[in-house]
Amino acid sequence: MPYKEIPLSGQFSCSELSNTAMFYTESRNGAIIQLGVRLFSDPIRKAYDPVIISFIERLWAELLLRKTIQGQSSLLKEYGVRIVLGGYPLGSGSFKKLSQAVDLINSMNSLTITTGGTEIDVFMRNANGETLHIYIPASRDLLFQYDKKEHEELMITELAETKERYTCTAPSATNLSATSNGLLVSGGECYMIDSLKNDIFFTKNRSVLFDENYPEESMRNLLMGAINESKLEGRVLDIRLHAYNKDLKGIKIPMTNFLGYMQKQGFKFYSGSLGHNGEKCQCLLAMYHPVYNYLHILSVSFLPQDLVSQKSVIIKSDLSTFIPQHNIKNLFQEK
Amino acid sequence: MRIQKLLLSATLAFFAVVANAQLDVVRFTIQDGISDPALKASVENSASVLLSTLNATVIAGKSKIKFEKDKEMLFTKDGRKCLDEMWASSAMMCPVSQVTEKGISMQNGIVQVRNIPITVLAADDDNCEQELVICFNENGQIDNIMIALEEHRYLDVINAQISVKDFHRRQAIVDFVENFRTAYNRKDIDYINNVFSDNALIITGKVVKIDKKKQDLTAQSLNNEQIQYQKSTKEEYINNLKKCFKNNSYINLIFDDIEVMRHPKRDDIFGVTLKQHWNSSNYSDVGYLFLMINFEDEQNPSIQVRTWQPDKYNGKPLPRDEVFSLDMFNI
Repeated sequence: MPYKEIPLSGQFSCSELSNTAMFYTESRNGAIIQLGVRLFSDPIRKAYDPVIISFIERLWAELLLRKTIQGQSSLLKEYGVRIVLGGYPLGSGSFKKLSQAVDLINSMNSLTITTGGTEIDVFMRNANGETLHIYIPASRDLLFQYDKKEHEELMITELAETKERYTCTAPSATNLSATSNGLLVSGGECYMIDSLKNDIFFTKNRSVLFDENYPEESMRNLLMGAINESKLEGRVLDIRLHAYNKDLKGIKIPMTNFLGYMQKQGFKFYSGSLGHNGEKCQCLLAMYHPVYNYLHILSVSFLPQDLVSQKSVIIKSDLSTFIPQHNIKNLFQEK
Repeated sequence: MRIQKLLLSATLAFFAVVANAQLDVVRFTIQDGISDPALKASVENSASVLLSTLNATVIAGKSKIKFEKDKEMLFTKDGRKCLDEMWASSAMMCPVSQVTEKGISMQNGIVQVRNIPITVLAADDDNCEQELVICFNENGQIDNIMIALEEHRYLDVINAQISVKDFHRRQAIVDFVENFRTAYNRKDIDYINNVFSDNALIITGKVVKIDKKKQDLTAQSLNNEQIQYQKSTKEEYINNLKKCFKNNSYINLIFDDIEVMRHPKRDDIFGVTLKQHWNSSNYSDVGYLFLMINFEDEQNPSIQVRTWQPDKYNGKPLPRDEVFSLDMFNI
C-alpha cells in the first residue's frame, strides 16, 4: 500500500496482508505514531495498559509482514517475545499458525496482564479453557515506539507544558524506627543499595520532618511527596539535562510541576543523600518504573536555608532519563 | 538479624547430628511443559540433585559445594560456575522436600523452571525467602541459575555498603551505554564518532577455521576453530561502520547482561562488559562487547577501548574468563 494512502488516524484494511487483518493508526500532531493490527476492542484498550496493548498490536503487524513461520519466529527471538498457545510456543506442537492465536484473542473471555517483574505476561483464556500467553521482556525500548532520544525529547516537551501539581501523600507515623541523629523514620524499602530508600523522616513528636536543621532529610521528605505542597511555593528546579541529544536545552520548572508530573507516571520513588559540596547539600531522587523497567535520576543541590526561605529559590539540579534497568547483570562488579 | 542467623546455624548443626540423612533430600517433579520423557527425567534428576546438595552442604556447614563425580555431569561449565558464584555471595537451601513445577520451553531447546523456594542465608529477614530459576540445556544439564527477582532486588541483598554517589555514577555509565546503543540503531555516525577517543583501541574477534591438512594428527582431532583478533584505528572502524549503515536499511542492537566495573585506582575509568545482539537487514550475530570508558569529563565521556568477541566457537560458549574485562588492560 502506498504510504500516502495510509490515513493519519482511524482504521483501514490492508489488502496486501490477510483479509482479516485490520490495521489502525494513531497520530499526534499530524504524524503517525502507531501502526498496528487491531486485535483488541475499545473497552480492552481503555481498561488495560495502553503501552502493552499497543505493543502487541504493533508486533502483530510486524509478524504479519513476515510471511513464513520461520520469519515470524526469528522476529520473536530477536525481540525476546514468546507467544505460547495451549502450552506450545509458535511453530511447535499444535501451534502452527499465528491465526490460531488470533482466533483465541477473538474468543477470549478473560485477559490478565501481569507486570512488575522482568517479563510481562499477557494471559488470555476462552470459554473452552484454551489459553494464550504472550511473554514480553519488560523493557522500555521494546514496549514503546520511541527510542531513547525521541522519548527524552517528548518528555522534556511535556515537562515544559505540564500543569500537574505535586500531591502530598500524607504518610502515617507508624512502624517508625530511630535514626542515629535522633529522628524517626518509616519506609525502609531500598532500591539496589541500602542507602537509597523510600524513607520518610519524622520528628520525635511523630510529625513529618521539615526543618532546615535537617536539610537532607527534609529535602528527601519533599522529594518523596511527604510535605504539604505549600512548602514548594517559589521553588524552581533549574535542570541540566544529561540526554542523548546534547543540543537539548535544560529547563526551569516549578518543583511542584516537576514532581507532580513524575508522580502521575507510576514511578516508585527512592531518595538518598549525596553528601555536601561546600555549603550545599546534595540529594538524589531515583524514580523507578516497575512496569517498563527504567529509571529517571534527579540530583538536587541546595542550601539549607533554601528550604524555608520566603523568597523564590532556584535549585540547581541534574536529570538523567530512561536509564534501562532490565539488562543490568551487575552494576557493582568488582575483582 | 545476626542473632537469627546464629540460631539458624545452631539449628542446622543440631539437625546435622540428630536428623536422619533424608532431611536434606528434595524431590523435584515436572508437572507439565516438557513433552520429551527423557528430557523431563533429566531435568527432574538435575534439579533434585542440585537442591538436595544445597541442603546437604548447608547442613554439613561446608563452605564449598561438592558433587560426586558422576553428578558433575549434570551441569554445563557455565552452569557450574554460576552456582559457585551464587554460593560465594551466599549459602542457600531449599526449605521444602517436594517441589512440583511446570517446565517452560524457551528458544534453542532451553527449558526453564521457576518458582523454586529457596532461603538465602546471607540476606536479611525481608529478603531471605526467594525463588530460584534454573535453566537447562537441551540435554537437561543445568546451564544457568538465577534468583527470580529483579536484579536490583537481588543486589539489595549483596550490596549493602555502596554509596549513593557510586550508584549515581554507575547508573550514568548505564545511561551512556544506552545512548551508545541508541546511536547504532539510529545510524547516528556523528554521535559514535564523537564518543570514541581519537586514540581508541578497537579490537574485533573473528572465528576462523583452521586448515586441518596443515596440522598434525593430534591437532586435527582437537578443535578446528579459533578466534583471531584484529586491531583497527578509530578512522578505520568508523569508515567500516558507515558502509555497514549504508548497506543495512534496519539495525536493531540489543544489549544484555551489562556488568559495570570501576578501575581499582582511577575513579573515572570504568569497564563495561555486555552481551551484544546485532540484528540487521543483512546480518545478525551475538557476541561480547567490552568498553573502557573515561568518565573524567562527565558531560562528554569517551570510549578508550572497544572489543568484540563472538559468544561461541567450536560449538561451545566463549569461556567467561576469556571475555575481555577491565582488569585485562594496563592503565
